Amino acid sequence: MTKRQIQFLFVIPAVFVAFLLVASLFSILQFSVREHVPGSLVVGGFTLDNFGRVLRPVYASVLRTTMELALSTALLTLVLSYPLAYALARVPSKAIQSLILIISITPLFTGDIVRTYAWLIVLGNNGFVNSTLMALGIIERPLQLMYTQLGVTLALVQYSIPVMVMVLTTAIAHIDRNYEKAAASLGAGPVRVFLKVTLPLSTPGIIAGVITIFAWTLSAFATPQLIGGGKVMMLSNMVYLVGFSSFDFPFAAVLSLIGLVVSIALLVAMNWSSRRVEKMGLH
Amino acid sequence: MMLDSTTCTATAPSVSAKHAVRLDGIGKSFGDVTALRDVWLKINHGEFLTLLGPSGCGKTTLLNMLAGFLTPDTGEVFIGNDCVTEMPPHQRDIGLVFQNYALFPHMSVAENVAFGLKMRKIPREEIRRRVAEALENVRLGAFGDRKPRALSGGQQQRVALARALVIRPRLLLLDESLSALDKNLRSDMQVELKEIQRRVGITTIFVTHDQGEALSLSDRIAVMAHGEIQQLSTPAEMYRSPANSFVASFIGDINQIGGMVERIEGEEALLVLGANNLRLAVPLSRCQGVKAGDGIRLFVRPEHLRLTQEGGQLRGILRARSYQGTHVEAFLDVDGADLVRVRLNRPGLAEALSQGAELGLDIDAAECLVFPQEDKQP
Amino acid sequence: MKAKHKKLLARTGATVLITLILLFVSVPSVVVIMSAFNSTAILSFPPQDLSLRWFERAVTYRDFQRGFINGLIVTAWTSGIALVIGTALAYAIDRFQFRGKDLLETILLSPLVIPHFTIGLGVLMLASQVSMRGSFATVILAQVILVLPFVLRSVYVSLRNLDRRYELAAASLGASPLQVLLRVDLPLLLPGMFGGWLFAAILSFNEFSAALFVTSHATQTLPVAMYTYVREYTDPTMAAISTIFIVTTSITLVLANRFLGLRKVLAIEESK
Ligand SMILES: Nc1ncnc2c1ncn2[C@@H]1O[C@H](COP(=O)(O)OP(=O)(O)OP(=O)(O)O)[C@@H](O)[C@H]1O
Ligand SMILES: [Mg+2]
Repeated sequence: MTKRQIQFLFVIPAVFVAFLLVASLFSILQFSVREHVPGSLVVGGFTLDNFGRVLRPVYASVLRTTMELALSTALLTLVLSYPLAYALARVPSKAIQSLILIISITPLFTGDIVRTYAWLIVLGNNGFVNSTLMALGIIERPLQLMYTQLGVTLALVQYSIPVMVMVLTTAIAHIDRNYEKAAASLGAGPVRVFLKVTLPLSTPGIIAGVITIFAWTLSAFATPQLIGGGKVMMLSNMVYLVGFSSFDFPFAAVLSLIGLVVSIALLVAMNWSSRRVEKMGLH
Repeated sequence: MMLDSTTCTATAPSVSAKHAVRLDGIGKSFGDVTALRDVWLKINHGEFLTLLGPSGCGKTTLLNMLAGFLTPDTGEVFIGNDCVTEMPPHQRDIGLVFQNYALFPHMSVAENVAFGLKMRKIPREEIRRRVAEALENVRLGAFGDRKPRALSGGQQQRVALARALVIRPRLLLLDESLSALDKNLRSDMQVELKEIQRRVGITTIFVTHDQGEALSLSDRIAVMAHGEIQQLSTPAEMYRSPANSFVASFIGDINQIGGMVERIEGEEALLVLGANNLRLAVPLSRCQGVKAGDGIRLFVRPEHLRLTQEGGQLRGILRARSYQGTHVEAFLDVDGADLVRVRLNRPGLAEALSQGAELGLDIDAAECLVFPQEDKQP
Repeated sequence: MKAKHKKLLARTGATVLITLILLFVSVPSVVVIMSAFNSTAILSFPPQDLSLRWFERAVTYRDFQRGFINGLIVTAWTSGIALVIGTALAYAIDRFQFRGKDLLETILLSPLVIPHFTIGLGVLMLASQVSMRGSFATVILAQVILVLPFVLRSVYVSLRNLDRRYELAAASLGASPLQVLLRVDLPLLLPGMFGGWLFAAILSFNEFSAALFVTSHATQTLPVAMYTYVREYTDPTMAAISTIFIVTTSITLVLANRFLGLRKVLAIEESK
């Protein structure tokens, strides 16, 4: 076998998968410009009308909710993940590190349904939070947590923490500890060292983390589907509704394309910002 | 595989090759960087040859060509009678020891040593015997079952050596193999390496940028700079008669004094040196390509200068002294030269002198070297 | 004395903060586990009596059983295929120069940012064009696309950390390129490959969003069956099966951490 043939052998299966992925995305594009024939799975002729429908208030409000949820989730996740990542990068004990790591990334691996179901019984009217608060006499009537943006956000934050922790830990571990030692030797207390040295030097990780979680949240489906219960709807839920309740695949395709475009835009933003940060000499 | 037939098959057909290794006009560039430029080299059977030179001069590149990891752009490589220019590494029968040893972390010491034998499909029983013998040879008989990372640096070094030698290679290549060891261990390993090499009688090429190591180990040294061999000779010859000013200043400590050739008289060149126009007659055999009226640089080693209280050919101010155990070095400020380093074998004298004292220097003219002013300084 | 006091206070504060955040992350799992042992069909806190009846129902429920089997089939194929393709590609990217390398890498890593529902819908539409809707092949394709980036990254990181001098040493000792690959590269890459495979297997078995789009009733995986169940019933059967998921996953993670080093598998950098 020649060297070229060997290389071919190594690459060709991956090319095949890549081809199918591109073909799938291309199918979405194809469907998006076809007419929907109500009551039928077969699509009609060419049309651009599907794109115009996006601007209708229902869909516009779904888009707005999606963006709001993605942004608030990303920021809240950042706040909660930073201490964990900092501890992971700086606590000397390996045992404590492992404990923090395992607890904080488990939600990534239990799967959407299990995780979301858990939140259902935490947030429900007879759920853990309400039962506990009522038992303690703090509230008299159950708080409405299900089917609210707050409930969805809480569940999404838990879902996003593992990813954020992974990104931030790498960024913080990357920082040369001698900078911190230098600052301390120059008279900065621990808080100042953190605020003036560690935090600024971890900016690349923070930016990457926030953008990643934004994209990550856009992709969420089970959480808003079950906890939003149709009252809080994200793009993904609307795609499912349009596709599988009214079988309007062309319009589902249009909505999916929006998700795709936003994700690509985020990716570009991430590359751009990381290059900016590099230029600033932070890394 | 296609061999470049024109030069490769034109090898001498004699049964035993005259040289263990022959490089014929090797050249290699990486993009704009010329790593090797027209290198010619012949290495004798059983010889210990050291490649010495500053970082980036092409030592590793040369070694990689011998090992088969790189193919030269021009020229041919011969090992024994075989032209190996295009031969892949695994067919070359070459022992290789790296700076960080590269012992396979997933194999035990014995498995590491056995690896090359397994590749050669040698019977189990013989492998076992030869591995034991090889480990015994480097005094690690009891360590066969350990993993490499459970060994000290010196021990890992010896395993790497055993692994390379057990396949009975035609050639042993060592790239900075001792540089990762600390100073004491390093000199122990130097002695041991040399001893094993002599016992096995294997042709060895050793790369280092430590000149002390080169001087003490080698049968011959090749000093390289900018991808070229500057000089190839025995350590003693290299020290006493460097071929050019680069080699002179690269090997050992040496002082430089600027001046010019006044005239040539018989077998001697008459020089005018320094700011005080000192006149000195140097044997022509110690001068390289100079003629009357040329600007020159005079090179003289610290041990060829004698300090005197009164008189002396040069005069200078004592600026510093440094105690070296076996001797003392004194640094004199002499007009027309950088600080001149003098080696004093009688420490008592130096201590008697106070800093700032004006002293004289006598030069042993027969040991000086003279190179033209514009001699290339790589 | 005062500085010491301050330090102690800061440490306590940090510990409390970290504990609270970890509680937030883990409370839902704990609550699920608690309610799985509840004897009544109505959830209540704290549970009245302890019982294992919901576990019994969970493991005997037909749809869960079928989902479990389907999930195993899909996961086995998905993780196996992703491992082979991902390892080969990681090796090719690290070692070979070929045209379109960057493009290929970008396309195959893109599922990390493209929403799963988009990929699910796309694969569904592609499959329906060739009349393969709901088939195992379609489900496996969607999952391979989703998990491939993880295998690729994991193997690629181990390849980068592999000292090339091991290969040179092996070659100089007489190993042919194929022998170098099999006897030196492969054993040294094995932990990375195993990590990537494990990652792929867990993600694939638990993946829901894309699976919901591409599976049919005959091929539905366990998470899809569970979704259907939540929509129809409210009894703690779900809590029981979730408990099984959570416990299995946690044990796997602890073992992976013990034997592989989670940081390495997840490509999180060690602090210097
Ligand atoms: N693969 C490569 N690609 C590009 N340039 C290279 C490559 N290998 C070597 N070079 C260049 O060729 C020159 C010689 O390199 P080489 O490694 O042979 O030096 P060396 O004498 O071994 O140096 P050192 O003592 O630092 O190991 C250097 O300028 C180096 O930068
Ligand atoms: Mg080198």
